[in-house]
Amino acid sequence: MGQTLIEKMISLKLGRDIYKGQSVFVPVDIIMGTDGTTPLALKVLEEYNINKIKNPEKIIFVHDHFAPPKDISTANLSRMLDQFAKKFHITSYKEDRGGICHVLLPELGIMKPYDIVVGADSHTCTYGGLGIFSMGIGSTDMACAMATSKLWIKVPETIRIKVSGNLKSGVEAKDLILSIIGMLGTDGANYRAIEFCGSTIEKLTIAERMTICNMVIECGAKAGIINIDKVTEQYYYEKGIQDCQRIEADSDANYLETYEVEAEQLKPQIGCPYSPANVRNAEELIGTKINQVVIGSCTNGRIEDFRIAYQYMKGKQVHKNVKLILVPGSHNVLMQMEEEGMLKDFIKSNAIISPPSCGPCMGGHMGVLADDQVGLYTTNRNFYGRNGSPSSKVYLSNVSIAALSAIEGEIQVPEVN
Amino acid sequence: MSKTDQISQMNIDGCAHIFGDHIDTDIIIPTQFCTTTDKTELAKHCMNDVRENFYDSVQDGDVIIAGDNFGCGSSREAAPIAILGCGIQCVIAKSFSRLFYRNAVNLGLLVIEDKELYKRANEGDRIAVDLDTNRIFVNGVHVSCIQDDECGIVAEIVKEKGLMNYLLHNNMI
Ligand code: SF4
Repeated sequence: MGQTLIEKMISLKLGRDIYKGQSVFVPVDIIMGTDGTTPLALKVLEEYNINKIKNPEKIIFVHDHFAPPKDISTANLSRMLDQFAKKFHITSYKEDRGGICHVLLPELGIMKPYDIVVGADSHTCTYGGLGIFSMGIGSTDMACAMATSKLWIKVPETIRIKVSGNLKSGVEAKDLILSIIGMLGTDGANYRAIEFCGSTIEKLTIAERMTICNMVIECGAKAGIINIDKVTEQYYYEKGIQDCQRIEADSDANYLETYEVEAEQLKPQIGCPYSPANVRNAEELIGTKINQVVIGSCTNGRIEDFRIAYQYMKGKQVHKNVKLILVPGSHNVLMQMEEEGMLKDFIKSNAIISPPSCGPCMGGHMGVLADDQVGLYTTNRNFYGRNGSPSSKVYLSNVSIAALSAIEGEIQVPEVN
Repeated sequence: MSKTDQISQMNIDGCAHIFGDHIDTDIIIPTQFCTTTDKTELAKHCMNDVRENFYDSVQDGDVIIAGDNFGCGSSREAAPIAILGCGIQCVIAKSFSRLFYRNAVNLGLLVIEDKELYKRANEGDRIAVDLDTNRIFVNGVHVSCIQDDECGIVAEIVKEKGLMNYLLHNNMI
């Protein structure tokens, strides 16, 4: 029987043929936890008296959700991670040289082609853009993976999405994934994997591929995957990994569904309150008044995103009724913004530059919205109450729309051609 | 018995608390309260955005009944922990989001997928689940059966009431 790419990848790890629906324990290559989720995992280890960590070199802690800590309790959680990391020789990326887990890990170059990576954060699916089977897990899962270097998975069915043709200028990878989420709905890919292929996908940069795979969780998917090609090989080459073996899905692989998307047809999209699947053509929302714009997060907080924002912001002023918060995804991204000369211009335009962090993305920290306020964010979720007051609202967009709207003081959409 | 004590026998008998579709993890437990690992502290904020004083209104053994995609959103295990902390041992929904389902299985919170019950049960109804016969009762009337299509490792973890117990009993840790 033919295998999908995901089935092939899991089979490769286990050395035997594995198919959808089977539950198996798989060896994991990297285990990531954040300051938000790791404390619960450590508590599980303590409750079960587990004093041994299997492969500390496979484990990474990242301080990003409440970094730098906002109060005493989050400072204590952060300290808990560091103390544990020290004791067990685990690498712990503090905010001073870290950033958002899903921006930081791909920068580090510690993941290899077709690795299995688990992270105690739902957007761990981001690394599918690097040809990695990566999935979000919970804290008990993380405790299990830390203690055994293994984890159970139920092999998912795969939905295949083929995207062909050229994206128009002004249309970003974010619009493509928003439109797919709109098409599938918030649970359209629940328990499943999504494999992206086609000529459009092949032309995307690594950053764009990660934006796409980042958001597959918004339609419930366990993982998103883009197979390794020349672009991915180049990424791995730059990270010092030269032998990129390649595997392909079988031509008679068993897909649950296959969708064909024409890239040329695609217009800029906006995810309206209170769901990333509540997607409309951006032009329908032109003129919507906004109080705050956030450019950042693991979806759109890479240097490539700030280069786009810069095209709009350079020499311009943020509208007087709007607060613009730029959140570099990592320390490296911030450094690069400085090296490329953007930082100075962003500051001159009255943007607020946040430290690399999750920040306003999940409303637990800086940049929280007040009652009835309206935000336009490049992040991935706009659930009821996620970004601050339950009566606040967040619209999700690409970077161009966010930057232009910050200047205009209301939602505006750059020309598409 | 306090809300956080384990119910020794996994037969469920309590009142129904009904919620709709797409109840996400930010509703179950908002991020700003995820700054503790304490089960009771988490529980106090559970569902509060959509139902004020939910924690106080729940009795040990009560059941959450919900629509589609319950628990969508974040991977935060604080969500099923907060529910357990309220004294709820069982969530019955039309469907669950993958991560919530996984976390619940790992923690020993009983999660049952049932398309029918949502239409048949009302707020405050008495819900009983007999795990020996897989039958679900509303106000004493047998209305539905647990469709148990889980097999292999997942079923064994459910039987062991959680992943860590499973690992212990299989000498994996
Ligand atoms: S940036 Fe937002 S979505 Fe990404 S890991 Fe942080 S909180 Fe989660």
